[in-house]
Amino acid sequence: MIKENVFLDQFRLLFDETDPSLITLDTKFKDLEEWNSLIILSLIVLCEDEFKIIISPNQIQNSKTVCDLIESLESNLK
Amino acid sequence: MINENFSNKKILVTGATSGIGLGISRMLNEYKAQLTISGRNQTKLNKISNEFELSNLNFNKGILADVCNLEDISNLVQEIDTLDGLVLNAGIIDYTPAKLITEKKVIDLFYTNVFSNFFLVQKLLHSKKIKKGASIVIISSIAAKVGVPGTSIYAASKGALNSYAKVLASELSLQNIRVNVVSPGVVKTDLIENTNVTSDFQMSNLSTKYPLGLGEIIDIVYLVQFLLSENSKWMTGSNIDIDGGYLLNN
Ligand SMILES: NC(=O)c1ccc[n+]([C@@H]2O[C@H](COP(=O)([O-])OP(=O)(O)OC[C@H]3O[C@@H](n4cnc5c(N)ncnc54)[C@H](OP(=O)(O)O)[C@@H]3O)[C@@H](O)[C@H]2O)c1
Repeated sequence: MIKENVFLDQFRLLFDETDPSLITLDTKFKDLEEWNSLIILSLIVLCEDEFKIIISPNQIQNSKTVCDLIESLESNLK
Repeated sequence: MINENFSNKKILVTGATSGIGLGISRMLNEYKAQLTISGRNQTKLNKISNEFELSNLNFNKGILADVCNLEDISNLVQEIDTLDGLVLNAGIIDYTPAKLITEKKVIDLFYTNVFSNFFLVQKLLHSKKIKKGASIVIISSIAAKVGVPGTSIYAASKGALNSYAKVLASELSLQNIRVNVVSPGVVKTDLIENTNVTSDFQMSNLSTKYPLGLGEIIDIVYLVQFLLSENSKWMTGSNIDIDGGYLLNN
């Protein structure tokens, strides 16, 4: 099980220009102005290094909110 | 005219169990070189060595050696004869943005891609196992020459290798030992296909950056063949980009 708040804290750290309070579990993260390919790569590395889960770029592409992302990650654990 | 007579040449290829190293080894084996291959995976190494033995009476042997292990490097050096050719190919890649780099990643990348080569060459030289007139080919990458996000450790490791090669070429020129570097762009091998960031989408996106398309292993093999042969006898200290035109636009 991924702790939502732990993931959210780490996820927020991937952004440098975005106010962290704008990023919640319901945020459609791909709509954030700062969203870019380096953040996608950072997210993949974060999942692998911190949560020991391999996530594909397609899974990120198919997730809308941070919550979706966590669900998608958890499906990789099964 | 390409002089392809490798049958009288003793050559060692590191990281010969897959991708570019395997391609180079296959070519050398076809040309009946007195070939020694090394890799860290016993099963793969045995399979390839068996295949090579059957088709080349001159094939020497496969030696298990994790290049990150100094003892393995020493054993490797002990087990081989004086070389006419050396291909330093074993390498790993990593895609991590600078912000998320870890000590382990830096150490793994630098040990495999850089330090291992320092130690292997040092031991070979110290035990006089590189012949006068020999050719050393180092597989680097164009990553060292551009700024692809996420490749900082990998690019830095290849940059270090490039600098090392220059100095080595200079020092060894006194013994007429040549040192040249091959810097490939993206070639489809396990290295690229097994990474955390590869997807069909990214692969097809990547290929648009290559005017001549992504590389094939054979493209690199031909260049290494030339550098190992006497046809390149007047070349040392060179670093050759082979990238389907990638650097034209980047
Ligand atoms: N493919 C490309 O697009 C590309 C582009 C530029 C440069 N290069 C360079 O070309 C070289 C070969 O890459 P490749 O694409 O052929 O990769 P690959 O298919 O992954 O092969 C790498 C080889 O190195 C070996 N190796 C890795 N770590 C080792 C270790 N600690 N000890 C001993 N052997 C080790 C691997 O052994 P295992 O089979 O046991 O893993 C394998 O035989 C690398 O130096 C790479 O940086 C590749």
